[in-house]
Amino acid sequence: MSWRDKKENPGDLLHGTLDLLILKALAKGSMHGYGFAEWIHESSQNVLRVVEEALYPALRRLERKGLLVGEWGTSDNNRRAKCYALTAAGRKR
Amino acid sequence: MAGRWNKLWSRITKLWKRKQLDRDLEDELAFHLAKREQQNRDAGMDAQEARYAARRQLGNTTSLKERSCEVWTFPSLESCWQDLLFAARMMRRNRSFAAVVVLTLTIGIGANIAVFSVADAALLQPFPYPQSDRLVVLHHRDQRTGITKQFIAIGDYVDLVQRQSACEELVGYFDVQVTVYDEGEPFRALGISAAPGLLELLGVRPHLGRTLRAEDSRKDAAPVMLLGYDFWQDHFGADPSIVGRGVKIDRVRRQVVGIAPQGFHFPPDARMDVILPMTVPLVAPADRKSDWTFAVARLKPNTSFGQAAASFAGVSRQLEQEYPSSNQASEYFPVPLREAVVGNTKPALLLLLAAVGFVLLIACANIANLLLARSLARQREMAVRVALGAGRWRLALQLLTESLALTFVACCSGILMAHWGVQALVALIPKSIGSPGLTNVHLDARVLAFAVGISAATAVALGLACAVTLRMGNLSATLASSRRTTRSTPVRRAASALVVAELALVIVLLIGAGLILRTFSRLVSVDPGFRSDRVMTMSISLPADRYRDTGAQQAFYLRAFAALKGLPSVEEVGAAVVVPLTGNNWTAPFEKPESPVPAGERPPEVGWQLASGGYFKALRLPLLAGRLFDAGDAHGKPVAIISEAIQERYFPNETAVGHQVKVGDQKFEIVGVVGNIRRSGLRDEPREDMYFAFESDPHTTTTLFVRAASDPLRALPFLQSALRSIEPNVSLFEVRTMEEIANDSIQVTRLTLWMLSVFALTALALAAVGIYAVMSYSVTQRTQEIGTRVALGATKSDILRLVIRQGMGMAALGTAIGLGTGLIAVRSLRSMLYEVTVSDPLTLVLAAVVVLATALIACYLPARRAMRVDPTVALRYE
Repeated sequence: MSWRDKKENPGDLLHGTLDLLILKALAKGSMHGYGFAEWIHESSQNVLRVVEEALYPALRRLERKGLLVGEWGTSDNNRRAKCYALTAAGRKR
Repeated sequence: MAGRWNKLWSRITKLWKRKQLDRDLEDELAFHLAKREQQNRDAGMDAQEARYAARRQLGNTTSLKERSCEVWTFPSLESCWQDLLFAARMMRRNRSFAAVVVLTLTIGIGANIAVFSVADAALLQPFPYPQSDRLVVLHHRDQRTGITKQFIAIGDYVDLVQRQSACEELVGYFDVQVTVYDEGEPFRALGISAAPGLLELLGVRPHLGRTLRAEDSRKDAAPVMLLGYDFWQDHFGADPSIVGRGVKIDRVRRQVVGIAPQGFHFPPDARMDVILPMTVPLVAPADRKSDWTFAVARLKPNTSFGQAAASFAGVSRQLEQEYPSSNQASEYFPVPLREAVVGNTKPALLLLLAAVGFVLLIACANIANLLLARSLARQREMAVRVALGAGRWRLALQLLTESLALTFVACCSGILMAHWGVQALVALIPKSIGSPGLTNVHLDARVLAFAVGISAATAVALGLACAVTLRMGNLSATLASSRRTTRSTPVRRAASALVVAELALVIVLLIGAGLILRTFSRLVSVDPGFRSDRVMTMSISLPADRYRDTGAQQAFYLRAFAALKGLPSVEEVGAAVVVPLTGNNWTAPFEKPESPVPAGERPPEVGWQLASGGYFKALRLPLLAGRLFDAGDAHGKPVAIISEAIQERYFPNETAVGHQVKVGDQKFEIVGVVGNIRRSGLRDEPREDMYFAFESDPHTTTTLFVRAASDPLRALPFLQSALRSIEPNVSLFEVRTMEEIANDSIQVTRLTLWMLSVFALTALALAAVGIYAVMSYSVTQRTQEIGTRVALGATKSDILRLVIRQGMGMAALGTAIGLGTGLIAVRSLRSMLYEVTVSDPLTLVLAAVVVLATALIACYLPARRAMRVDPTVALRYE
């Protein structure tokens, strides 16, 4: 909802950019949160390491907006991990 | 659009699933950390370092969690909930503080709710008639004497109905007392006789049967009546077959044609047992003022009250020109129905509302001071929070939530207190002040809305006061210093300002209470012109069918007076139609036959009373000349007694006894002169009154006045049995002692005085507590300074003077401001005062003295503590 968005920290410079990055990454296939962090790290050649903290709120935001959908599964090291995939609306973006 | 609602719904449901969401996030982060840790270990770090590095990289998990969760739910709601929990914990920890605040606020809010609900019932609640705020009753004013009557002359009524243009319809009515002859003993019933159109005007739809029609009021119509709903239930067992049957009322058998709806009363405070049709003459009788009626009307849709008043004034002038001998200086003016019913309680209620509002303001000022002091003590806590990242707005919101929580609790207990307080209040209001709303004052939606509103305003004011202190402190300095509490000059000034304001309000209240007190003491000690001790009044009604003619009535009263006077506990017995001090203003025209009033002029009006000789003796009305009425006047020539004022004005150089007086067409001989009395109320001037002999013109319904040898109420059973032995079917009702009547006539003033005094004293106590608190706190703050002064050579009396001067400085300023505002404010009380000027110097001086003395006493304890300051301890205090 728009009123929620207005309250986001305006100092978060990578706000919209991060959303786009996530959507772009998911276009290639579904990932979990850690996977994103690694992907961003690789793609940007170590520059964008700082955004890990903003990652999870961004994932939540996109999920709430209905652009992503999350699914729980078990990872290889026997922990619960949530995998995200684009929805039809997200694909349009 | 639907998508939005879905999202809102999902947010709301997620509020409940919060724990689940937290756990999900935890799992995600744990997974992330595990993978990162793994990666670090693979890169060569040892296990512990790998873990730390992973954590560092992820960042502030707490902030992360918070921000993630913020996205899901309503963070503001959640933070509100957190604030509330915190406020509850604070309250539990500082129990005494919370108790003091809640108690003070309860008293303030509760008192306000109580007074408001009474005022609301009396002044705001609409009457149960359609468009009741546009209903007016017509009053008559004699412009020469200023005497107002609440009814209008019958002759003028006929003309007014035809000529008035401001109202839709002007309808007459009159109150009736009848004797009902049904099965069993005849009994008395009350009601109204209504001119055609009254019931339609009031929107009355009958519960059963029909309402009265225009034909029922014709002279030759079959006698009919309506029964009131409660009367029908109580006396006829709600039997629907009563409709169509006849019931004997007074001397006439009337057919019951309908039952009025439940809850119908007109006037609003009247008992409605029966409704009879009123016969209205079609043409004004020659003696226009031979009879009187009440009249009510509804203003036309686009007519304002002022326009209606002007319109009626115009018609009055027309009638004055056409009938000067009866209407000269007669004026008819409309009065809104509410004012006519509630009348003299309005200024009192408004005064009490203002007073109780002041009390709440003072209570709030005190609590604001308390909260200020406490928030100073919490500066460190606030500074730490700000350092940890709390926004200032967030802190202010939290303080506001705390004050809201306190006020909410106080509001609830205040409502409870008001509920009981109102019952007590209503029990104290005498029944003579009519207003149906007053009898069922209850806490309705409007009152509750007022309660919530006032509590919210209080909470916001208090919260703001605290939040403001956040700006006043230098937070980093606070953190740096090791002091427990901080100094803050602006806060101290704010506290002092609050105390000054409190004192000013207290002075205003004291001035108001003092003026009313003086008014009351004047009223209580005024001489009404007669003696009311040991006098009992009792209304008596003879069954109409057995006492049709004057002879029978005279015979009864002769026997009754003799029998009653013969009782050992009775000194004097009399009868009269008008009871003094009940607001009665009946008049009669006075003319001297030898100097008749010129044609085209109306004779002056004087008070009218029909009384027997015993009436004067029972009330100890002094006989100044001639004689009183006696049994011989029953059949002799017509006689009258005048009051001293008439003697002085119309018979200045001679005695009036022996002269004739002309009233309308009849001539009476003056046989006696008695003293003046204050007839309709204690505030009236003693007036010209004319008395006619009850012996010659008795009424079947009248009031007996009995002077008892000792306690009149103990004589009552003997009186009742004596009367019943002469006439078994006599109705005896409304037994009141004359002292009760005199007390009731000033009950409004008495009640106002009592409540105003309670409020003023409460305010004074609160202000004293306020001064004590501020001074005490100030002394604590200045302990170091005092210690220094003592070390430098100040004596104890110097310190005392220092503290007292500070305290009395505030008091003096507050008193000065209070006196100034008070003088302006109490001007609105003028209508309530009696023989007391608004700027009564004695009251002003006393109020100032009381406040200054209280302030001095309140400063005393802190001053003593200041004197005891040990310089060595104080200088070490840090």
